[in-house]
Amino acid sequence: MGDILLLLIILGFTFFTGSIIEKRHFENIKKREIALIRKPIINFGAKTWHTNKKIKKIELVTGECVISGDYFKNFVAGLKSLFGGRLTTFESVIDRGRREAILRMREKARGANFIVNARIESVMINDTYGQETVPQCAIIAYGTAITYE
Amino acid sequence: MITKPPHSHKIMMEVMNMILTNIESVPGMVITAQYGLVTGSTVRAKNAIKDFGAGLKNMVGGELKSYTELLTEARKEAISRMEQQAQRMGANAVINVRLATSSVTVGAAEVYAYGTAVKVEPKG
Amino acid sequence: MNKSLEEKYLNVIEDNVNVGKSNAGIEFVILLAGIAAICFLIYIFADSIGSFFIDRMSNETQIKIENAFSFGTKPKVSSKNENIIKLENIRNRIIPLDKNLQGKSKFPIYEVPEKQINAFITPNGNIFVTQGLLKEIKDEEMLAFVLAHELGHYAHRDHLKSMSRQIIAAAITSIFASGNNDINLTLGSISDLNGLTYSRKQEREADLYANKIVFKLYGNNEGAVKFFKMLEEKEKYPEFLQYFSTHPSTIQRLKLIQQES
Repeated sequence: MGDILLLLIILGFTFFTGSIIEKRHFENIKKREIALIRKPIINFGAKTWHTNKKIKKIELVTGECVISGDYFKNFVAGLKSLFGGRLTTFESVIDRGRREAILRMREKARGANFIVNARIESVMINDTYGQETVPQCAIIAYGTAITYE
Repeated sequence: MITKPPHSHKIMMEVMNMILTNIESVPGMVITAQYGLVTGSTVRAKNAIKDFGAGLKNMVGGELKSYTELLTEARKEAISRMEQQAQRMGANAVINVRLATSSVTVGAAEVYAYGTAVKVEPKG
Repeated sequence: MNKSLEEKYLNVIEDNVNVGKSNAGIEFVILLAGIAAICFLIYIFADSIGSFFIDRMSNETQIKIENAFSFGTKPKVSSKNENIIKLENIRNRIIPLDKNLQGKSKFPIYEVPEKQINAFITPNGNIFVTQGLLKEIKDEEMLAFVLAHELGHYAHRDHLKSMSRQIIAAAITSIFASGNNDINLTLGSISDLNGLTYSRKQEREADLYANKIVFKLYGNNEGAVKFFKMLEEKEKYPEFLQYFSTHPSTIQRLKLIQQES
């Protein structure tokens, strides 16, 4: 009985901390995305990018983020995978990580007018078959920033 | 200022005639406007019984049908979410679509689809 | 960039399609309820299969299985005191009353040097009685009820049933949990609670059985009533704790017995 009580306490604690952290992170991401609303990124254009304007600077910009779900999210996803279907708790974690990585890339290219040919890669950096660990996802976003004169 | 769009499931039905390419243009069409990156991602899992079946199938080898199905579902959902974003921006095509996957936990598939939402018009 | 496009961008940022719209806490509760329901179904399934085969099992197989579980060891018999002889006399009067008890174990009775009031029967039919019980209870009708209760467990093949259902349920849950420790723990705890419910059911049935035996022996069940009244005085647990216990609360057992008389 002691094991299950400990599990419940950990779950309750991580539920509150996890949801507070997630809420703050999402608010932060939204604020920064709205600030950057006028700086579009596109993921094509390396070969077909034609412009009449003079180009001042071309630069490779990158953004990285490593994110992990909390214990509670991991537990709920484990339960959910018994029944199958969408693992919404992981979706939110990975979405946060991706947007964070993209935002960091865009913030590095603050002066630029455009980011072309953006690519986003993700990799799991822990042992995915170690059942005890919470999955950690490393995301890297990179692209070419173009600044007009 | 921001009007709440209807629930995602309803839009999923409405998304139609969205052109998707994984090259840098739409052949025979001219790009008239770019709306930037659109993304769609999902994490899905199959139920425990199918996981168990796939584990057994692993011993003899061959196609793991339930996991193929899982990946198909995940891919469809990720692309449809990307299309929803593109549609809300007013685009009618997504070009240079890329798909990326990563393994989140055992028995779960994560698919991420991203591309550039554009408006295209027929040439001439 | 014009205004309407900006609004569309804002819309996309505010309403994220990439995250399913569900609250993790609510999802957790629903999932737990679903899993509890599944565990319940598994237990009913394991239960019906187990009882089906065990009830139809012949006496020879029962004795074979019992011997396999008892590893052929026998406890050392201390010098028989008068209490044990008294119990044996009662036992010899109970056994002719039920066919299920005849032709199997000889039901030897042993004394355990412990202070609590307790008695139990092993799968191969050895009855153990604590010193505390022998000290407290001198009344013959009460002792007859205790003995009949333990013999009732044997007659119903309760040990074999609970063993079989535990094996089946453990096999199914290990398939579901597939090595994930947290899930295993959750499923295990739920099935433990289920197991306790089942155990309480077995105890009630053994009580009813013992009640019948006592009626046949003495024509009344005052021994049973006295026994539970005595237990009630000794115990000071709140009643809700019975849901975490292998036995129903004494008050409920007393009620059950009184209803029958």
